[in-house]
Amino acid sequence: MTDTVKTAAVIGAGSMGSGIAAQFANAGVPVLLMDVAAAEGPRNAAAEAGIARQLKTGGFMHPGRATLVTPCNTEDHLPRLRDADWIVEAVVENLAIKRDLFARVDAARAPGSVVSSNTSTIPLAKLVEGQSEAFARDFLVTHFFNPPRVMQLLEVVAGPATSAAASARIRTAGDELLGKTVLACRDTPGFVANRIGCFWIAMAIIEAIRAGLTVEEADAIASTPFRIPPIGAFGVLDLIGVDLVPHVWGSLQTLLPATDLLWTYDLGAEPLIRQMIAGKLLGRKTGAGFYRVNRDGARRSRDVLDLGTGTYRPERKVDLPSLAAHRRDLRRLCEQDNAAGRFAWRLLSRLVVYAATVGPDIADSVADVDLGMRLGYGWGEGPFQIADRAGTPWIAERLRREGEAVPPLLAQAAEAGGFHGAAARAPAPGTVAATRRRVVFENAGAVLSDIGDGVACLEHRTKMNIFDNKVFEAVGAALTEVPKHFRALVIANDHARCFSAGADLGLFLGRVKAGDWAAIDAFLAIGQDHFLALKYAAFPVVGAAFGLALGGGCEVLLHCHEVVAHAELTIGLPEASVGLIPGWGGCTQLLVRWARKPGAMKGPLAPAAEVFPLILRSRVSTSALEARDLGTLNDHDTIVMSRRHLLATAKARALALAEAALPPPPPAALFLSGPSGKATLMAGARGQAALGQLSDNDLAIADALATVLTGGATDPLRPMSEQQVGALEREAVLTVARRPATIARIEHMLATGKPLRN
Amino acid sequence: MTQSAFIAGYVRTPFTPARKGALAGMRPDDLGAHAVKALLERTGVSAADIEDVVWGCAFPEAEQGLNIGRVVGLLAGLPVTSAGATVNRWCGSAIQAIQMAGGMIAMGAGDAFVAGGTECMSRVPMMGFNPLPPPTWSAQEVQDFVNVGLTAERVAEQYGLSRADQDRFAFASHTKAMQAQADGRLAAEIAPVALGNTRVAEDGCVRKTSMEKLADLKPAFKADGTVTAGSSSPMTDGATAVLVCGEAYLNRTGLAPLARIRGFAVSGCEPGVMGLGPIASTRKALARAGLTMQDIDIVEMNEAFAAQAEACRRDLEIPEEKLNIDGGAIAIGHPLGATGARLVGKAAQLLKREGGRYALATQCIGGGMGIAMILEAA
Repeated sequence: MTDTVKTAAVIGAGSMGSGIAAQFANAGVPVLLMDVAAAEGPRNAAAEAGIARQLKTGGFMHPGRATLVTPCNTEDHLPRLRDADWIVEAVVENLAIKRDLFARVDAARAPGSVVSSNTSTIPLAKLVEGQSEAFARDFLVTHFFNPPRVMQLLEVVAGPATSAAASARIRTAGDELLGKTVLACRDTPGFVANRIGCFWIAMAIIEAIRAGLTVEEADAIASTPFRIPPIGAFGVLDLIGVDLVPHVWGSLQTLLPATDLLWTYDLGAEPLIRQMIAGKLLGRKTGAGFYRVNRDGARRSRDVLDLGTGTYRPERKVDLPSLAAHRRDLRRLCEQDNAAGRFAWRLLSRLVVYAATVGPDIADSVADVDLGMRLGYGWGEGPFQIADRAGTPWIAERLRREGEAVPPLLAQAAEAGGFHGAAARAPAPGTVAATRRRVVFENAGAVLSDIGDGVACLEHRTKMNIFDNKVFEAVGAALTEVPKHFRALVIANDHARCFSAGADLGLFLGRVKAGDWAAIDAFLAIGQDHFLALKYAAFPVVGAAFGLALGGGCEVLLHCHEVVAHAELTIGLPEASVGLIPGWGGCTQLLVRWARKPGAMKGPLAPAAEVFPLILRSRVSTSALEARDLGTLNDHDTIVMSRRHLLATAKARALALAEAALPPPPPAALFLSGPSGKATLMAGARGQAALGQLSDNDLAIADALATVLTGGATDPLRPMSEQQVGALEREAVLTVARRPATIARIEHMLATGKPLRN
Repeated sequence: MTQSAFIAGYVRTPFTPARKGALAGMRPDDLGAHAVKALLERTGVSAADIEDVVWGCAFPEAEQGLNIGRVVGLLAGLPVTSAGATVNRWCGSAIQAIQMAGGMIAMGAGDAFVAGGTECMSRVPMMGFNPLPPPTWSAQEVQDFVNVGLTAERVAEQYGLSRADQDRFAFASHTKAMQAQADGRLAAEIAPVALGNTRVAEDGCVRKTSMEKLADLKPAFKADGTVTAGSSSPMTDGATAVLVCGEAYLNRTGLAPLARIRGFAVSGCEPGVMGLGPIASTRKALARAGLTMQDIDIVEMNEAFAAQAEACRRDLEIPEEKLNIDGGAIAIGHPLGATGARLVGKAAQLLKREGGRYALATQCIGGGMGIAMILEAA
């Protein structure tokens, strides 16, 4: 098999190299991590440090994955490259060093292996100069973004000599194996994202200085109105490090023709930047840059660099009435005849002119440029989407009115009414929307669709995909329609980051305040009945989990026959943080799972002893791999690295289960420990309370939870059904829901999105 | 028909911190067998002479279940004809095991025994996997039984022991153990363990500290409490083996004994102040031996917590210079079911090494008990 990557190597164990190695390990691929041999001490010290850095900064989805990374060095271990299918170079941005390394790599690697460089600025043509023909055939640029686990973008550049096979292999591996969105780029300096992104930062900073704005004002304007992260341009440069200006902006500039508009914003020549570098005001790495954080005990305050005097003063609240009024309407903001309006227009017009000027040279489509900025820089929209939102014809017309040149691409787009035509709004491949053949049932809560091949898909359409009565009505429709017309059911949706945030807390709170306990009990019973019906359905039910799967979102997945999970999965039962306990079978199903979990201790209390702290401490996973440890995923559940392949994989698993035609599982019997086990759980909780780790309200929740997990008054020899434990769940929820502290927690969560400790 | 019982050999594995220590990957039965093999090697006793392996373990379940006493004997290469039993008196298990061996000798039911114990706190948690106390107990009664840290807080309050008092006691324990380790005084009793390419030869819990560092630690059991991780014994993995034999056996084999067992007692107290257990058991054992504390030259008292150990020391008027002269459990560690045999073995070894006539080994026991054994130089 030449088209898969079974073993990888990364050379260069800095933050990028070690992060890329960690992502291979996250995907389950053994990887060599090489750096230069240490002159003294352990020779693999640099690679070891890279692994330690990723363990510390969260580059690994599970600490166990670090064992897939083998630390080694380029002096002793180059022959090991023979085993690697894909060798990523991530050493210092120095052409001579890279060339020398490539020659050595070429001599050591296996024929047909692929070598790629993580360079962010050096053109591919220069990198392959002087290398063997075979090397040029097998060589690409693969530009990851920092941190590689988190950032979705992978810019890939193939040279004229690069073979189609090598190119296809890396695109497939980048997409399916590493879960990245691969953007095919041309061999131009800075590729797509850094070309636009560096221009934006340099332009915003220099325009702000010219306009006499403060750092806070400039960052406030150059962010939210553009749907760009609130950190702003100055904030981002603090994060990157002001000392990198000569390296990054300097080298990018020298690679670009003098006509490139980046030359009109020569950041490295800016006197303030030079002063800051000389004065070691380098940003976060030195504790002071444009912003300076002061820590006085637990209190934090910020000082800000005065762009005129170069001295620090306390941070000021931004007081720009027109920004406050029009922060969500970029065009109106730009139309204001004041400092904020003029600066916003300057930012918008320069950005759009630059993107329209270089766009045709750097990417195949405006959509690719937009994608690069969204995924590489975390922008909400790319430059052409921003232009369309503000009004592309209006931008072109105003530029003409002001006597500015309008680049041809902008002129064409203005004629057409915008950069993005209707085709751009078609659903992305792999989504439920793109896969839907017809709607079988729909209401305000959810849609049941035919997604082909005899598979139905149940898709939430509530805010944050919460469960309400309408959604349960749709679950009910699935339970009746699927056996009649389909072979299997997939539960999936297209939300950007939330599979399901659980129950409708607002609705719940209203009923608590109204004292409508019967309605609450009925709402709990409906959830339990529907989820258990899914669990014991005669057809396969597969959940396609991603992003947040909390509370009810976790509980529905606990009842699925299988889950296909995106690797980045935050799943758990955080009900205690709003003063509640799981009431839709979450306690029950976690007990069932821990009683069966391979390697877990058995016995009447052991499963409860594991589940108790998970729920009491609102423990949620930081990855799908960790969810396996916590029992919220089963070991046999599939994990996919790419969100775009989630639905297709879930559908394939559902069909495979339908093919296997397994009978529904026999009803679970729970043997719980009864009051004796509760005494143990509560002794532990009281110990934590003595230490101040649990409040009296936490203890009340602990008591209700412990009652459920130990089966109330049961005896360890007496089997309990899921319905019986479910009844205890409902009773416990009703007990804690009556507490004023719970109401306060729910209100606080609804108001702030954050848990209240009371 | 009674005859005296003697301690004629003492060996232990290194004691290492639970979970993160060097021996965390080793099964408790293998750890125990390692100690027994080393004991037989060092004493030169023939395995076939061993009547029984009497083995302490505080939480005898999972890898420590299946009658670990019998398992340890078989794994150590003892003939199938040597028996094996597991003894559970929680922290007092291994002293109890030695007493049972001695008791069998006294009643003529054998003349050479391996006694000792194992605890792998890495692999079997304190209180076990399924602790199920009587449901009729009140929350407070359950708490007193299973949360020993809070009982130490209570003892500290009752005896007026400040945070500084406890830290001073802990610092002395750490300092004595560091010095003993540096001087090779601990190595004499340790049978190093080979694990793959590495050799674990030293105790892993012994560590350098200072009064300042100890003072910086947060309370471990109670938000406004005085007991810290630094003044508590750490969770530990380890095994200890002691050879217990009768006079006739010594005469027959020419084996030189370390000490003779002169007295023994167990006692009970309120579970909520379980750390005071040694007071009553020591008084009883001394009285039975016809001795007073003034007669005792060496004291090995377990340091479950500095609070309880210092309270017992004050109550029993034990001179500081006689107590735990090579350091105690706060520094060395406390593998629950193995500790008792370390105390008795150590006391016997010290009688030989330091000179002196009588020694005391004593421990507090969770659930509100004490255990004490008196030795006489032989």
